[in-house]
Amino acid sequence: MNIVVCLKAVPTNVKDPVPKSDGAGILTEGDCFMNASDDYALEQALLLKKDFGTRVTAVTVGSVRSQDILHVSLAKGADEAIRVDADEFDPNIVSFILSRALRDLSYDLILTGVESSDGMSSQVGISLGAQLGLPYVYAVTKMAFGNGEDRLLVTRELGGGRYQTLEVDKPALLCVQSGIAPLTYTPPVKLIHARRKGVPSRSLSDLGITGEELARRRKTKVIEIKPLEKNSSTQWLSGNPEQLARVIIDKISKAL
Amino acid sequence: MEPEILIVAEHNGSELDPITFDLIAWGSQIASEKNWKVGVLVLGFQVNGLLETMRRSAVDVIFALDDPVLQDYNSCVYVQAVARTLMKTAPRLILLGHTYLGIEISGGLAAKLDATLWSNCLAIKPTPGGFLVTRPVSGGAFLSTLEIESGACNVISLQRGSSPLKELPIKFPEVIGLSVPPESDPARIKVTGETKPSFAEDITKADLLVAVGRGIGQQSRLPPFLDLAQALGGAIAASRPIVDMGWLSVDHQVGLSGVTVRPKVYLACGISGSAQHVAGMRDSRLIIAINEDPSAPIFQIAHYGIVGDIFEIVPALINEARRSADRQEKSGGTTN
Ligand SMILES: Cc1cc2nc3c(=O)[nH]c(=O)nc-3n(C[C@H](O)[C@H](O)[C@H](O)COP(=O)(O)OP(=O)(O)OC[C@H]3O[C@@H](n4cnc5c(N)ncnc54)[C@H](O)[C@@H]3O)c2cc1C
Repeated sequence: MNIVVCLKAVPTNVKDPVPKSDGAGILTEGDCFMNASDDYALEQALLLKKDFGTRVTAVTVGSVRSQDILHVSLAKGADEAIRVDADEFDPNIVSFILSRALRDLSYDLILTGVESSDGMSSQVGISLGAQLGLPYVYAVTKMAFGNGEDRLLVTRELGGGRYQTLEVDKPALLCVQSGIAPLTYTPPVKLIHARRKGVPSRSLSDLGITGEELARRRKTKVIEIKPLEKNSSTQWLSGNPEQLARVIIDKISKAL
Repeated sequence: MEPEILIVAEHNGSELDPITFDLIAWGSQIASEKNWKVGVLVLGFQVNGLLETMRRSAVDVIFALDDPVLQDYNSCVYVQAVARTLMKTAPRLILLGHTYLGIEISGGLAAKLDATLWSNCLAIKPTPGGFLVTRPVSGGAFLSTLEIESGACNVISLQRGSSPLKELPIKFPEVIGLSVPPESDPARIKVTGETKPSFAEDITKADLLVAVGRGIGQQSRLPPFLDLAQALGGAIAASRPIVDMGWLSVDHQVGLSGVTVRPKVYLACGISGSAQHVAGMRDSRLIIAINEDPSAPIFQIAHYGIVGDIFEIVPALINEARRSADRQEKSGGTTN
């Protein structure tokens, strides 16, 4: 059995994001890390590997800046990692590129996270599943195999503390909610080893995606990015910790 | 009538979800600028009561898909059913909520229609060539404005509570009943049940919540916050990552996928204020937030904001809370 896990590297501590000059994305600086819910998707795939001997392939669409998350995935136990070399921000385009990358891979199950902390669209996973014509489920909190290994037994969140249980045919795409399994520790030696080995990258033309095709799909331009406007009714408190504590406790006592 | 805008309504079987009215408000605003018509699609089983409510709204036409196969929400069946509606009408714009259901249906529809989809939007403005949307990026500390070129159809999903207008004209729209297709493609998803686990601790009853977020960094740094909650006579609450990491049990999780709380005081410590967290605490009577990042979205809804390190402030808060409790005890001013 084969599982493909789609991972995204996200920048942390974003200070001054600006639109790219052609509007095709957002420029940020700083280090990238594995997106939180993707980390859980990987962890779930590796649990299945442990129990069923499943082969796990990690895939990301990103620039060189994102390759370290693939090193992490290999260090954690993924069998193979592939980076598609494209720096895209639009989930419509990213899901399309992934759908092409997955054409060349065999899979019984595709796992993604639920939402990336930078793009915040919760869109790539479902769009990918839909483009591949697979059944898909968002916000999966539990999964197991049923009926031999034929069907997936899935629990998914509906919000407000409600959950739905489902039986899903394979192959399927599941967007894994954070917290599905405990995150495991990555031994530094394994990480060093994985970094030394490196990961293969594939270009868009390797996937048969032409410049015209991409241009045809590029329907969105980022015009502007600005910080949230400060809410003028928030009252700001300042002082040393003792002064702040007195003011805060006073406000609390009055409110109770 | 073929409306240019189609809204997918959400409901729980007996009541329309408020997101539906946000979508209608957006739909009406766009329609009046473009001289378009707005249709709303209500899918489910035994939805007559909902249709009555819908008839007192600002839409031009209601499409109803009422069928036992739509009783439980199932993305396979629902996407097929919505797609079926699109054989009767060819909208230029489909609006959905950015919700568990909306996320699945919008992705499925966009793929079927080869349409551009933008989700989690806070505002839409029609332009001559398409739409401008505003949506959060980078953890919600920034807003992006995107220009979307209009295609044959665009799909856009909107956040809860984002609606622009309050008063809208009632149009008493006609209801067009549609039938769900016999399942050509047997659903590859089967709903086997729905559960709502009960919780050991009920934090919704507490008058004061000390809520901790990822800003606490490590599990070993949780005890001072438990002490603070105790010193203040309140309970401990948390954002999702704290529960995901197993540092507190799920009954402490506040937000979209946790509990909704309305305490007299909500003290948010090291919580950024994501939309999913805020959904569960925005109606707290007094919100005090401590965060080292002045641009954290939590400050948008906080009555009092403190930009600083929680680990410097919390020990002082514990001391002050204990001192204040002592004073009250001495003066005999405690209530119990
Ligand atoms: C479908 C879905 C459902 C979800 N449901 C929920 C839900 O029910 N509840 C929920 O909470 N989340 C939910 N989430 C997750 C949500 O999107 C956010 O990821 C989460 O709320 C972030 O938690 P946080 O604020 O603790 O962490 P972060 O966003 O990482 O914020 C940590 C904050 O701590 C601050 N900080 C760090 N160190 C310090 C310090 N020493 N002193 C002061 N401040 C410090 C930082 O500046 C930062 O603002 C859901 C997500 C999805 C996709």
